[in-house]
Amino acid sequence: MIDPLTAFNVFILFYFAVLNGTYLILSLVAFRSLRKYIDRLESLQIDDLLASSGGLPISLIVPAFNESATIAPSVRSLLTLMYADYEVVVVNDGSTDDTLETLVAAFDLEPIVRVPTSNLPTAAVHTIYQGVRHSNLVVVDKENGGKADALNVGLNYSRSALFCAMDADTILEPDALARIVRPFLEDATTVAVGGIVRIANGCTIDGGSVDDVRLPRSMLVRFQVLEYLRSFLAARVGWNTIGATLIISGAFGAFRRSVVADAGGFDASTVGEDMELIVRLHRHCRDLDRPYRIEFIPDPVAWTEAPETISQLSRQRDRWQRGLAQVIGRHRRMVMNPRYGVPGMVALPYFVAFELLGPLVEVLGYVAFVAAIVTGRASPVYTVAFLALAVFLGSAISVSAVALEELSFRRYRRFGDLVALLVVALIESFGYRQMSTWWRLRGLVSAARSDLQWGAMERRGLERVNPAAAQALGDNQTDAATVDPDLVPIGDGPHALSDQTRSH
Amino acid sequence: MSWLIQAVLVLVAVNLMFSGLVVLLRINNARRAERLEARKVVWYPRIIGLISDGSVPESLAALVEPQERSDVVEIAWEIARRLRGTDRSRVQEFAAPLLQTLIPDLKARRPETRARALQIVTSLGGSEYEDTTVRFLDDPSPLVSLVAARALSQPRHAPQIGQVLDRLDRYQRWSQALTSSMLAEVGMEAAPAMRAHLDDDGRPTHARAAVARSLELLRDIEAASVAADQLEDADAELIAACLRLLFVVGTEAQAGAVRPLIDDDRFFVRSAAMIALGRLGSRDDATLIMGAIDPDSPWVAIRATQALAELHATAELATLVTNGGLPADAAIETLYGGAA
Repeated sequence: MIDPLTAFNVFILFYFAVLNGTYLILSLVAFRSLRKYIDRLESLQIDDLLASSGGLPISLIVPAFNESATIAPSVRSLLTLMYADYEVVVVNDGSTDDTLETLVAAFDLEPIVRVPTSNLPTAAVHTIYQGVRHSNLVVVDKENGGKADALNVGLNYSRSALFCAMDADTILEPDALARIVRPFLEDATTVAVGGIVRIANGCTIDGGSVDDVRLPRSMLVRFQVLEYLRSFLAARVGWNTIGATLIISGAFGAFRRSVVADAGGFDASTVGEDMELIVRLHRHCRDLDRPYRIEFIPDPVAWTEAPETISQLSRQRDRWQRGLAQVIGRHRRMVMNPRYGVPGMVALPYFVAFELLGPLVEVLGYVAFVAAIVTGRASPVYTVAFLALAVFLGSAISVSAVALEELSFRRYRRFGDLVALLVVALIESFGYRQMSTWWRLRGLVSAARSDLQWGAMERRGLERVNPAAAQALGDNQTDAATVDPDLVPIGDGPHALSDQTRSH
Repeated sequence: MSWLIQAVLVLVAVNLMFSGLVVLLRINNARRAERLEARKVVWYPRIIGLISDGSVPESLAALVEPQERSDVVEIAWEIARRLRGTDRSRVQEFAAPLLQTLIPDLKARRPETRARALQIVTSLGGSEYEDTTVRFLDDPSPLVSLVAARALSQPRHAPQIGQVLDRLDRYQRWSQALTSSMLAEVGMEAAPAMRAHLDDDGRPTHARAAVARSLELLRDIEAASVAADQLEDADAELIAACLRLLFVVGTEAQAGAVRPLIDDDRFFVRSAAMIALGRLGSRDDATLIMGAIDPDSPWVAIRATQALAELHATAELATLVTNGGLPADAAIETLYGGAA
């Protein structure tokens, strides 16, 4: 009879094999998809396509809470995006610093009356402002209610058929909006599109855009750069290929406004509001038997600041894990339910087994591995198999993520950065991965205790080498996004239209 | 134990080998980029010289070595995309003999390869590729068909617009914005065919709605009566598109057809009807619009107040402000540009 420790160790081996095997398959799928996607972009000549189509009007919704240090340059940068018809809706979520005063002074804001076009329930709105020089800048001042609540306020007060949800400290590349809108043009059933989020730490930022892409010096941030590459270029591209995108980052995603409003907007009761919305959109559209597409595309780029200390990073991972647990708990009816297609039958079960419970199983696996070694019950075959599946296969997957970057967008142009990324990929499984697993396990435990607190992140602010240039660019921006009053800017047909008159 | 150590070493070696492959990939990419850059240094000024110093396209084309043909075509394409008129024609003349290199790509199995080749050929080639492009409208790949449709939606291919219109049903997943702006690129020469398409109730309604939007972009005055004739159609998308067209090109002659729609139970039809009536109607229509305002529907309220402003119905707007609620905010937004 097999003793329990051995049986568990066999299970762990099987678990790691399936986990890393799935990742490897996703990487291979992503490899093919990325090649196809890049060829497609070249054949479409995206600039011409967007120039001729005029693009679709879009509202950028920017929740801001105590962002006074960075809000003015961030908004200036947003006002210089290369897109014909957009508005920036900054939602001051009850900041206790002078975020609002900074905005009012920097952009010469004045109070206006603006009719909300949907009535998602939110915390109280105090005042709405509009820029005198930038009429496409709207600032909504409201009671504190959290990021999801702020996004819902932005949704209520935005006027475009599409909206883009982002973080206040996110830097969008100048063509990011144009690129993220393309799937909405090509397919009118598209309801949500996510772009790639890259880490800006270490990069040179000038005039509100990332000028020189470099790896950060901090090893902790380098690990995160690698994680982001793996997550976006391998996992998300892979899942997207089979129509099972479950996450669009809260830092950068575009949505069809009417569908999100119909589905009830962002859920303010979860800390994983970005994933929750996507899962709910799948559910909503499938419940209504409505044709829809939710896409991840890797070419629209948003840059964000990653945590630089272990305590910040651990809080972030803890929060992500809690969010995941809440989302899966809330939508458990979708798991293994054929009504919800690939998202319900494949993606969600994977998320339950490997993303949600993964940290628990992995930690137990490491403990059992050590126990087996210490007690002398670890056979040589088991030891090698464990190292192979848990460590070296993990490294191979990380290296493949670097390969995907090199095959596709090659943002890290310096040879030294590429080599450094490869080194990070090779050593990531020795220490960092285990730390990350531990933080996620803590998040899982917190979720079990229904802890809904957000971990605060102290922002250092991304280095901007030339803030004056950014200011000048912003101040010279003309009012390019005045909404054409002769259009009903609410979609491309009745399927995309919604009159939000119901109460929540 | 030695075989175990060997096994671990093999795994480490696999990782290192993977890493080595990535490095080799980088070296290869860097070399390719350098080669293209070097060719650009040579060919950019030469191609620009066709425009600036009157170089002869044929003699310049003769200088292209066989191994650099595809790169030179790329460079010519990159330049041509930024040019118009005779300047572009000069570059096209230069590139025409080089396009043969792309013919095999037009028959490639991968749709992306076909689409890219077609894009370049239609951009740099002359009318001799028009029939080929029309054939690609029926390519099994939607991507290739999209490229063909966009290529044909240019003023120089206006006589072929019927071919694109006939296939609009194939593009029903595209957003209306994409279809309509593509068709509008052809220009007024295509307007008669588009009007006929809009008027043909045998055509799919989504295609007719897209055509209505194109006619709106073209500001085709003659389309007004055709649009008014469609307002009794059952399809809301088509009606809304025609109302928007009427808002832009209509006259008071079409106001009668619009009036019944301000009570339509579909809010987006109602909104579009109100704004159209504001433009086409008379001062008397203000009462009608006031009666149709739904205090719970923000879009209708916004459009109604905009329509009242179009009709210079300031008294009615003032009444709305006094009455309060959503219509009051909409009226303030319209009257004062939103200023509180």
